This record gives sequence, C-alpha cells and structure tokens, in this order.
Amino acid sequence: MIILNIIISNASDKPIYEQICTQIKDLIITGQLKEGDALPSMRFLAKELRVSVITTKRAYEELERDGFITTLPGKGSFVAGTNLELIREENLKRIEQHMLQIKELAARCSLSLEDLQEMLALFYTP
Amino acid sequence: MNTTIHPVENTAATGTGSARNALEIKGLVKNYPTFCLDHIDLTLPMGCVMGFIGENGAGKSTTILSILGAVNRDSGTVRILGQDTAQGIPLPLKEQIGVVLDECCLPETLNLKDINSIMQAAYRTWNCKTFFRYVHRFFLDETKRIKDYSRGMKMKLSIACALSHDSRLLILDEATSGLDPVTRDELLDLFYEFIQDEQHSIFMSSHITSDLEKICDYVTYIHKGKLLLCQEKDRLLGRMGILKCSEALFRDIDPAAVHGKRTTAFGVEALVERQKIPASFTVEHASLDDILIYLVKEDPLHAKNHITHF
Amino acid sequence: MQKITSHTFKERLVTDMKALLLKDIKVLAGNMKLYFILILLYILLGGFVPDLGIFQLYPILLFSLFPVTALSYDERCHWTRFGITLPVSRSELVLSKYILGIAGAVFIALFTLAVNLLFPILFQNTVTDFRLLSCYLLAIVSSSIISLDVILPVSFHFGTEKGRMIYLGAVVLLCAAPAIMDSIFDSMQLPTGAAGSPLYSGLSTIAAIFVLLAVLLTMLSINICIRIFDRKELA
Repeated sequence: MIILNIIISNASDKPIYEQICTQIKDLIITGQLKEGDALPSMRFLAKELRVSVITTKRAYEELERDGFITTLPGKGSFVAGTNLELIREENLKRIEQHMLQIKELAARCSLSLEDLQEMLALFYTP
Repeated sequence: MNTTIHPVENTAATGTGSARNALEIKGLVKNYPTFCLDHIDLTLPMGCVMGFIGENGAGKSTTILSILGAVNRDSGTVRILGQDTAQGIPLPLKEQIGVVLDECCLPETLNLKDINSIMQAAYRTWNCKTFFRYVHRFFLDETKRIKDYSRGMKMKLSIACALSHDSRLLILDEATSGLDPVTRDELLDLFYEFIQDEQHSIFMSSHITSDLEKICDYVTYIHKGKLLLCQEKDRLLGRMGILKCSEALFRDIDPAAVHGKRTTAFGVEALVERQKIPASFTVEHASLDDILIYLVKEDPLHAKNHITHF
Repeated sequence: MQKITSHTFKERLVTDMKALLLKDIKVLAGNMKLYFILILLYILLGGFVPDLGIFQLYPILLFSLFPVTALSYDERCHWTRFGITLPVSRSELVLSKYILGIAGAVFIALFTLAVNLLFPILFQNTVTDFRLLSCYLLAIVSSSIISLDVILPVSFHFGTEKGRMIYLGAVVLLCAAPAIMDSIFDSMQLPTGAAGSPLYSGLSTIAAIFVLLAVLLTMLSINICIRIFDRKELA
C-alpha cells in the first residue's frame, strides 16, 4: 500500500467528492501516484475519511470520466497511463478557476483589467 | 391527498452486479388510536447505509418494529434482502439480520459467557471467536453481570451480538442515543468496518445526526408518521442551505424555494434550495439537524400537508 | 460462513429450544438459587417422615409454575421484543415455557419419588407402596400441569401480574386434587394400604384420568397460547 495523504475539509465550500477528486488528481499530476498504482478501495477510503461510500464512489467515477484512473470490476481502481494532454487540460481548468476568483476579488476592490495585468507582470520580473 | 414518495433512485451505489435491495418498504401502514404510520415507502440498496431521522415520537421505532414483525402491520409490504416477509421473517433470514434496539434486552442477571452459550444455541452461524474478539476490543468484563454494565457497555454488547453471526443487514433503533461521543465514535468505526463488505447494509434510526452526517449514503426523514423525504445525503446537503437575510429582502425570494423559515426579531432564517436563490445572497451550509428542525418545527403547517419532492 | 437455506424441524426443536430453555434456566438459577436448594432440602427432609404428607407434593406445583416467573423476568428486561429477532419462531417462544414447566414438574416429581422410595428403606426399614406413591405423584404432576395450562395463556395475554392473581386462584383450586387423594388415603393405611380395597385398585384409573386430562388440556392450552402470542404486539 502506497502511503497517500488525502485531507478533506468539512468547512470548505467544495463538496467532499470534489476535494477527493482534486487531491487524487494532484497526486497523479505530481507523480506521487504512478501509472498502474492501485488506489485504495472506495469503501476503505470512505472508512478512513469518515465519509459515505457514495461520496468516494462519485469521486472515483469522476476521476475515471476524466481519464485519470480505470476501475476494473472485482479488482479495484488503478491509475491510468499519465496522459500529458489530460494533465495540461486539468491545470488549465484550475488556472481558469483561479482567474475567476481573482476577477471577483478584483471587482470588490474596484481593480481594472490593466491593474491586474500590472500586478501579474510583477511576478514575472526577475 | 396522499402523494407517494418516489423510492430512492438505485444509483451506482449498489456495486457490481447486485440488483437486490437490502430493504424495501412499500405502503407501510400501522394504525394506533392516537398515532398512525401513514404509507411509508423506502428502499435501501444493498451495500449502503440509510439514516432514518425524526424527532421523538415521529414513528421511527414503530417503523422498525413493523419491519421486524414485533408489531403487526395493517397494510404494506416489507422485503428484506429480497425476501417477502408478509408471513413473518423466515428463520434462515433472521440469521442474516442483526438487530440492535434502543435498550439492551438481555436478562440482567446473566454474564457474557451465558449470553455466548445462549446465542450459540440460537444462531447456526454464531461465531464465538468473533464475539469474544469484540468483547475484548470493547474491554467488556466477562465475569460481570449485565446489570453491572454501564449503558455504553450494554450497547456495545448488543452490537457485538448483532455482529457475531452472519449478519448482512444491520438494523439499529436509536442505538447510539445516550452514549458519550467517544463511544459513539468507536461504534462508528465498527459500522464502517461492517460495510467494507459490499453485501452488508445498515439501516439506522437516530436523532443524533452528527453520526449520520458522516456514514450515511441515504437519509429518510419521518415526522408524525409521515415520510417527509428520502434522498441521497450528499445530494440533499448540496441542494439545501440556510439563508439569513432581512424580512424585506426575503419577500423577493421565490416561495417554492423555501422549505421552512424562522422569523426572529432581527431578520429571517430559512431553509432554501440553493439553486433557486439568486447569487447575490449568501447561503450557508445546512446540517441534517437544521433540515429536520426547519422542516418540522418552524413551519408545522408546511410539513404536515406537504410531502417534499426532490 | 455456510449459507443456511432451511431450518429443519428436528434441528429447530433441539437447538432453538436449547437456546430458550438455557436462557430461562440460567435466569431462574441466577435469581432463585437459594429457593431451589431450600425446596430440595424440604423434599429430602420429608423423606425421613414415614407418612407421605400432601405438603411434600407442593414443590411439584411450584416447579411447574416457574415459567410464569421466567415470563416476569422476560417482561422486566423486554426480552420478548429482542427474542423475536433471534432465529426462533413465536411458537417456539411459547413452547419453551411449557417445556420448562412440564420438565420442572416431572424432574421434581421423580426426585420426590426417589427420596420417598429410598429413604424409608434406608432409614425406617419400611417399603413404600410404589404404586400408591406413583399414582399420587402422577395425579399431582398432572394437576400442576393443568394449572400451568390455565396460567400461561393468561400470562401471555394479560402479563404476569394478572397471571399471578390467577395463580393464587389456581392454587386454591389445586388443593382439591391432593384433598381428594388425601381423603382416599384416609380410607387406607399408609404406607402399604389395603391391597384389596376397591378404591385402591381404582387409584390407577384416577391417576390415568388425571394424566389424560393433563395431556388434552396441555394441547389445547398450547394451541390457544400460540394463537394469543402470534397476534401480540411487542412494542
């Protein structure tokens, strides 16, 4: 059994199955989970995280839908071949989500697009 | 005017190849002079956990006793693990049902060894090793008589009994009320262990919803003998929320989105469906407790005559 | 674990009854150990007395009524509600009480028989009339079982409180049986009796009638009791 860290927060706005999904995707993207590695069973994960089985099931279903894992009936779930395109897509999705958040925050302190671009440029200066 | 609740959708939760439901109740009716169970419908898919929630006197125990045949049904069908129980639960089926009632109904002057020998004779599938493993895990004194046990120990003993034969369906009636959080946490561990097997299911009634929030796949609400709702817990908690705003702003809210409200001197708090509330409002997380309270207490007329469809 | 697909009648009779009887015996033994010992001593002491007093035979009645005590312990801890979740049928729950009572009465009767046969030989150099004694015992056992037949359905239906009131009434009625026998005894000399007396030869017939009555009433009572209990709400 590989040692994995999956931490979920009950206080977060994100539904728990999404949090599980995101964290497992992270583990795959960062290489902690490699192709062919066995994931913990849905029921075991539910037990350890103290959530319902349907939650972990939904997380695994979404991971499978997004191509990160494959589930073999009777055998369990395994990490699918790491498709660089998939990972890139996932990261793009996340960047978009962050951008949306930035946009909303900026609106609250009345920052324009130009202001934001200036701020972003600062991160790229050596 | 009795609209029936659509039975819980049989989602992917049943696992591979098992189309059977652990528990199926259709149209259960039980009439007492001052109370009646009115057409209870619910379905628990195999391998899942259902929380049966309601306030004291809502009809939870009556429903469970009707399922077990302790109380005679006036009408309705109950199928347990796919078998009809109209003529009573067949004895081989009882081997597969583990029951924990709200009190330990074992004779108080007996001790653990006595209980073990009695259960061993009663159950064909009784496993002494398993029983004593639980006993040691719970640090239950084997020589003490049951009447010297604390409430928590009695409950642990009842649960040990329910788990030491070939149970596939665990039915718990308020088994955790009156227990301290530490004990309840230990019991929750046990229930999780029980459902590691895909063929095992749990039907538990409780009004301590903090336990149910974690483990339950489905929740069913009952109030004054009527079913209020029966849905996947995650979906329910995702769709509902608590809205707090001023009375003035509240008037703009679509009434169809509101399932119970509380008016205070400083504003309004309401149980709402998130999707029907405009984005400008802040909707907070609703717990299972909140849902029960709002559905039942804050809008009694609403709850009595309106059966919620989700 | 093996998959159980049916419980055969023979299996059920042995194991289910064993479980239920074990429970009742353990509960009664736990609560009434001293009582049992006193009764046994009482019978033993009676063995030293040459005359077979009717009071020696009341333990049989008491033992036959222990099921009612067992039922009251059941009521106290709401056992019946739990008992039906075990793989035993409602009929078996009823039957176990009858078996308990009948077995208890028979056991004590045999014990009394043994004591009253052996002790006169050992300590008084007299031989008890076996036929007299056994007829007497048969009649008493039968009457005790008949009283059980009356009390159990009442206890199952109304609860053991009311059952006990009927029990007191039954005890009064039951005094009739030993009294009848006693008056028959008075017409003979104990312990050997007048072998040629017409009443003496009729004694076996009387005993046989008692036994037959007991068997018939027991069958009727079990039937009624099962029907009562099948409909009972165990909320």
